[in-house]
Amino acid sequence: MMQLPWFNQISVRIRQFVSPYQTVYGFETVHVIWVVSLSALFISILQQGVAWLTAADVALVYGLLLGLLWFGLQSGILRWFVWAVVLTAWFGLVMKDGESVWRYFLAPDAAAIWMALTILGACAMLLYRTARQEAAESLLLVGLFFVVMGFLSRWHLSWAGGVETAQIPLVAKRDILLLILGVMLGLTIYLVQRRVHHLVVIPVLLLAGFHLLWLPDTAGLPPLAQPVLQHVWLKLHVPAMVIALAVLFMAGVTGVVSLFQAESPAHETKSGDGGLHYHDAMNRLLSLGVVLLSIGLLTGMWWADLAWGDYLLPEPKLAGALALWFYYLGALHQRLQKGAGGQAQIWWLIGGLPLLVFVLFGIDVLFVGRHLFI
Amino acid sequence: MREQSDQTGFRLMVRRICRRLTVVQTVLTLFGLLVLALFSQLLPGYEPWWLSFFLTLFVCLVILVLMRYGRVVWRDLVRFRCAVTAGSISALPLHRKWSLTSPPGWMAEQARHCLVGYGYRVRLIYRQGGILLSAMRGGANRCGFFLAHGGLVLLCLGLLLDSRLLTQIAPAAGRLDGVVQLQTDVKSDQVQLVAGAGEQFVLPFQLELQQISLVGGLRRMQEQYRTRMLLHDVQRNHTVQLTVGTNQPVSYRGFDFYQQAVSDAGTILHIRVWPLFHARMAALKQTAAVYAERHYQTSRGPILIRFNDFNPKTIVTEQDASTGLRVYRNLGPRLDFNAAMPDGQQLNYIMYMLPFAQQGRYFFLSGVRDETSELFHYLHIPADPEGEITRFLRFHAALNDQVLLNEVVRNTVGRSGESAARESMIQNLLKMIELFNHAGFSAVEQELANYTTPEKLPGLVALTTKLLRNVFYQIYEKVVQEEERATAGAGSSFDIRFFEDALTATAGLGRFGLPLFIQLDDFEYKPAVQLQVKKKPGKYWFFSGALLILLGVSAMLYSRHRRVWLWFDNGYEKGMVLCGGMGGRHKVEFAEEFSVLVQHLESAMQP
Repeated sequence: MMQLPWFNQISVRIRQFVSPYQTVYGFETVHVIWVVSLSALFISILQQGVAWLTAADVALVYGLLLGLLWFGLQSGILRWFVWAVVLTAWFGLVMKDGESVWRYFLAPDAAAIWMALTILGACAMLLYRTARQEAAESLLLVGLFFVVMGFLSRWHLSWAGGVETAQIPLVAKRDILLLILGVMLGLTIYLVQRRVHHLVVIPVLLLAGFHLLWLPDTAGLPPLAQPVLQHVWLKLHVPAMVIALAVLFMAGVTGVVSLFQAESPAHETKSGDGGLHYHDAMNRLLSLGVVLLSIGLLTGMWWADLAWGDYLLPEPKLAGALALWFYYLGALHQRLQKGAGGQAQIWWLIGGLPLLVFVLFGIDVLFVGRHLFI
Repeated sequence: MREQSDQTGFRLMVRRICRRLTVVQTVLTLFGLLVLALFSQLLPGYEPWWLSFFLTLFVCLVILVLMRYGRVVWRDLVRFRCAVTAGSISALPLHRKWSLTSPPGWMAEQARHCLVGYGYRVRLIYRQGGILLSAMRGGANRCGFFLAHGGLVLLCLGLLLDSRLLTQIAPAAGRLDGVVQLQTDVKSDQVQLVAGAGEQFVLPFQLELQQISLVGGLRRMQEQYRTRMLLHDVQRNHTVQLTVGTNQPVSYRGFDFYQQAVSDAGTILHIRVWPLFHARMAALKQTAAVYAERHYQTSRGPILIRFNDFNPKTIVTEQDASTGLRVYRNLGPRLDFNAAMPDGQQLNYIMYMLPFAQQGRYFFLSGVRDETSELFHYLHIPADPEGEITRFLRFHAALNDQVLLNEVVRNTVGRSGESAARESMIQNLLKMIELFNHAGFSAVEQELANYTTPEKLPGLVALTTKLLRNVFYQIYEKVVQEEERATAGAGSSFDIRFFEDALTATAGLGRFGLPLFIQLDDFEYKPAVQLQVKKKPGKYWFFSGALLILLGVSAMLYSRHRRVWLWFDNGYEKGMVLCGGMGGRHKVEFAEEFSVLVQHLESAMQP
């Protein structure tokens, strides 16, 4: 390999500069760089012509920024991931899509195809053990990158019509599916990195394929037909519910996967290689899912009270979500009363899987209510 | 003795129930919610009797849980467990032993400081044989128990307060669900109840509509209204101004007001009525009102028109040809009226007052239907370059002008040939034009079928159509020239397209049925607003309960209760420090924390 002394010198300088031992007013340099660069990018994005954002929207964007900053400070890999997403979004916005090469990667359908390809590749690597696990994990992370870009570009697409059509993509079934896929993919990466059985990738694989099948029919973004949807609670209630359902679904999937393990989950002990027990994973997912589901229900009912005039309506989706909440409270009660782990909890979470699918999609098919996907 | 045994029996029963409570709770939850999910679809309203029963039972069960476990959890929260001994500390799975290197009092103080730094609450107990330090942390976990269960009680009580049960016991304090109609200069306090046939509730104050406005851009739908009203509270002797909008309800004295619908309360319409199928193009200017009736003498006989509704703004969505995105357009004011025809037929009409774009051209839309349950059949009248209907009306009047028709037809037929045959042809063409005016080219074709064989009919139809189109185009050219746009003539692509559209519209006028065209000049909008009035006495109980559950569950899940004891022995085992801890169900996490903690304690207690 050719020697490049100037390159080595610069490389050493950069490493010194971002090393954890270098500090700026007591803060690690790398953290300071992270906070400053991400904040600058965010502010730059906000200045790219999204002036019609309401005060609540701006508050949400800054809340998101704070959340991302916190995530980045927790983990190096997340820091790089978030930075890549925000930087790409910034470039996409500056290039004004249309003419640039970015449309082959960032346009909603292109991003979805890349996402499906990367997920398919990663799953094949994991299931057939054709490569090292780290390579598959990286590929899954690239898949997650395209999920986020797909979501952002759908949002950006709505700006093409100006303020009149700008909307967060949280109404169409395709967008909800994409959000679920993103959350489940993130959790899958988390579980795969902690050496949970590789079969955990199957739901993500199926969802990616399903999403791909959906593409031809859903080119444009549907308008927010009902005035009730033009509300800040849409941006709180829908993500909270969708993320909660995805998290609880992954808890159930972890339960199913744990059944494939020879040893009893109740008697596992924590291994030293950073591995996570199935019951640990299930408990963390269950806790997070229940808290998010509670937030989703609370915000949804408050929104219903503002928009529909009542917080408890004869509404099938609400009844289903309440049934789900009580079901998972029962699961939580079981855990708090009888202790974590155990076969009963696994079956409880597995039993929740059909209930989750029914509440999210089945209710729309069987009943007519006010919760309608467009 | 018997009384004591009864008490023991009761306690045993309570304990047995509580032991099985998880199962009972689960079964009830699943059963209750399954029925709720099913019945919410089958029964009107969500508060059938069994829901009140279920909620009451649920409240009792949760209170039972609080009674049974509350004392234990409270003790865990506040008591330091100072009765432990060196023996019990060494029996703990996590414990450590050091030698006493400094005076026990000093070491206990150092340990206390260290533990306080870790967020522990600490108590020091000086005993005969040594010093006991008892510390605990994570009280939020135990508080979470009370918050979650207390929240569940509040939530269920809120639901009970909002259920039909309270309304039946105390109607004045219970739930209210109705509609109040507001008008300008009229004070209303009558609420039409949703449940109950025609029952009314009188509000303790009066409401008066001040202003209604349509907010937002074109994207906003018709329901996006904002109502400004005056509230006159005689009891409190004051008047307040309130604004209600979609997604923006207001509350006053426990009553919530929601924007529901806007209807018309008799808008004054300044209209121009154009007679159709008439050579004279003169409009009748008059004033009408919504819900009022007007009689008209037309070319087809007397017609009675009743104006049903008026909308000042009509928003429709269109697909943009270049971007493929949906865009919003305002078709302007919309009139809805019924017309009683001379033959007794009742037709429902809708007329939009601004032109609508279709395939790059603009049309005035007017719809007709026999029944209100049917879809409208639309007539597309082309708009002229000024965006007005004038050119079409002039063209239509010219088509009914017999003098002009005679002249144009004679010019078309020419002067050559036999005079009788030429005259017959002129008369036939005039007849065909009249037929076209009333029923379009299909009527011409039907008429021609009477004069020839089926084999020759297509040829005759083609020839007649060509002749008629020639006549119509000459008339159209005259109309355009009269507009003083002679330089452009009628040869521009717009004019040719307009001609084709005008012919299509004329052909459709017969099926449209109404021999009038109503144009709106101005209006004095008089809306009536329907506000939904709700009273939900349990709403804040419910949401407070839900919030407490959220906080409680989060505290129980994400906060760990742990205890640490240190025993500084100066008794029989002189010179030893014992440290032990327990972390409840979070054994693995606490083991890690404990190992770090003892390292810090050890270094803190070094002299």
